[in-house]
Amino acid sequence: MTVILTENLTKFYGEHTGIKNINLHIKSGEIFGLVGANGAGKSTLLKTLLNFLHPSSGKATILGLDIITQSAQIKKKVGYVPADVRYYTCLTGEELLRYTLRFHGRKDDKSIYTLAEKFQLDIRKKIQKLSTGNKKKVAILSALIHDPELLIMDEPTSGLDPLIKNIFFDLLEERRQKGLCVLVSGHNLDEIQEYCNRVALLGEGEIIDIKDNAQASAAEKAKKVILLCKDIPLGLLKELAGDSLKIKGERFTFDYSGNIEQLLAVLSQYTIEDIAIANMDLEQMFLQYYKVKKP
Amino acid sequence: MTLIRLEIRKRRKSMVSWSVVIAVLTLLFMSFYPQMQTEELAALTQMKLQGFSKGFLAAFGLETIPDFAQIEEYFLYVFQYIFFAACLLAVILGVDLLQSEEADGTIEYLYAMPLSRKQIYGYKMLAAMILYTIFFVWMWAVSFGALYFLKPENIQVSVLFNKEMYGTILYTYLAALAYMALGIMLSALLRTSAKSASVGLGVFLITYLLGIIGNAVEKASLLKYGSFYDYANPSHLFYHGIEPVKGWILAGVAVGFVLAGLFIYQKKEFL
Repeated sequence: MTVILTENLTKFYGEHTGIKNINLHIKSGEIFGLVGANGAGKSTLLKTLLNFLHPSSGKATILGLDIITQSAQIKKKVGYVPADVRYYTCLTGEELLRYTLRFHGRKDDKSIYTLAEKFQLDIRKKIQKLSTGNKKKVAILSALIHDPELLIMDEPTSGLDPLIKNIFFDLLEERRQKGLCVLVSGHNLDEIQEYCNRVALLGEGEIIDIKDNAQASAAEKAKKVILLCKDIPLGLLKELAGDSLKIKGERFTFDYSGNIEQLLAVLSQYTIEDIAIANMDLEQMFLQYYKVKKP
Repeated sequence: MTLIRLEIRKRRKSMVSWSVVIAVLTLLFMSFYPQMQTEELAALTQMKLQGFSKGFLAAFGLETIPDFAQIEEYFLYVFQYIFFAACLLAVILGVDLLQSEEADGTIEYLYAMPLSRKQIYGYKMLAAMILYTIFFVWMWAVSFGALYFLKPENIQVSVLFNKEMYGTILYTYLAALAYMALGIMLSALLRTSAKSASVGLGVFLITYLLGIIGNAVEKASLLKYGSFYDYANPSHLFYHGIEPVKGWILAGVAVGFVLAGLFIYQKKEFL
């Protein structure tokens, strides 16, 4: 089932472009990621879909409903996690979550306590006394407690500790299998790559490319390797790393798109003091795409 | 209804503070009355006031010099200062209604809920009206309480409850609502950086001064129509009776500001 459908969705702030000609088709049971540099248009896109901002042109529907004229109906079925959580500081987490349920016409508060326990959140505390991470948990709970069909999240994991991130992504996966659609923007490309089915790269308000993680080529799944090693031959490293090799004393940094097991097998023959292998970071990925599309 | 409850929950402490302040202010003012009751002091005050020009007296609601020995005349004179504070609260409450949510960023929470802009605007306005009406009833209850306990024994309570007094209550309420509506419209119009209390205070004082100048300077008499406070000046209403046209103007102005605010707010974006 189509959850989000946009046709040439465009938003200008005066002469400045927020988003331009965004065409998306996102289905239920899909986790769709948005990545891009600051000001690329990620938040503008999310806010336009939620009718916080009015589009300059183009149109969009969520669950078949128009984002402008039927926004209140849409929000009955949507949960939203903002990047910067700014809730009523005079309320406790419990009070705020209860208000969320009432706004959605729900009277049963059981889900508040179930989710709060899962996320290890003390909901009796006033929001003003909560840490950034705990405020984010309140926002996540507020977005989930009414069982939405679509979850829109702007940098949802910033401030969360790794344990809670795992709980959060497990819950997302559980709900995704039941048909939840997720639109998430973020700067953590590792998370986006790991959990999203498809990822759109945004630059200057436009979609530069949409990657399907399941169909991504080996080259697209490139890793960044940071190696601290005294005795590895430079020739071998150049062979493994190609042009991407950077040398700083005994520290070698390079991009690697081959088989990781084979790489480790080769490296294990030498004295490795330290090694870090990570998905290529957002900036590198973004710049790589940007150079290709806009030379 | 949930938004009305949330709004009341948010503002209840501030409204209680205002209610306490207004009660203390009323009781302090009224506690002077026994001193005013002496004929010597009343005569002295009358004599002193007669020395001022008509325009100057009119500017301060003393166009008809009250007999401060009469409790209802003394009360209506001091009540204009209590009413001043009540109008100030009305306009600040109005300006704060949407503007503070946008400045604090909490409006993002409301926008994510299944509410249209019209519903957010309408429910918030209703909540403000409920809170203000409770405050207003409290303000008059304290005033009548003070009147009842300080009145001379030979005066019947029924003297205090006459047509002019009912008219004063109604018109002061309408004027306060007009100020609140002006505040709500400004709230929809203002950018997030503006401070609601400063804007409210500024707007109220400007209209109040328009009234003072309009009353004091004959050539600028038109200016007094820019002051809702002046339409419901308690002393003026008591001495000159109510003028239905002013009541209709206040109601019309309030509705006009509310509709203009709604029109503006529906186009507003949360950046």
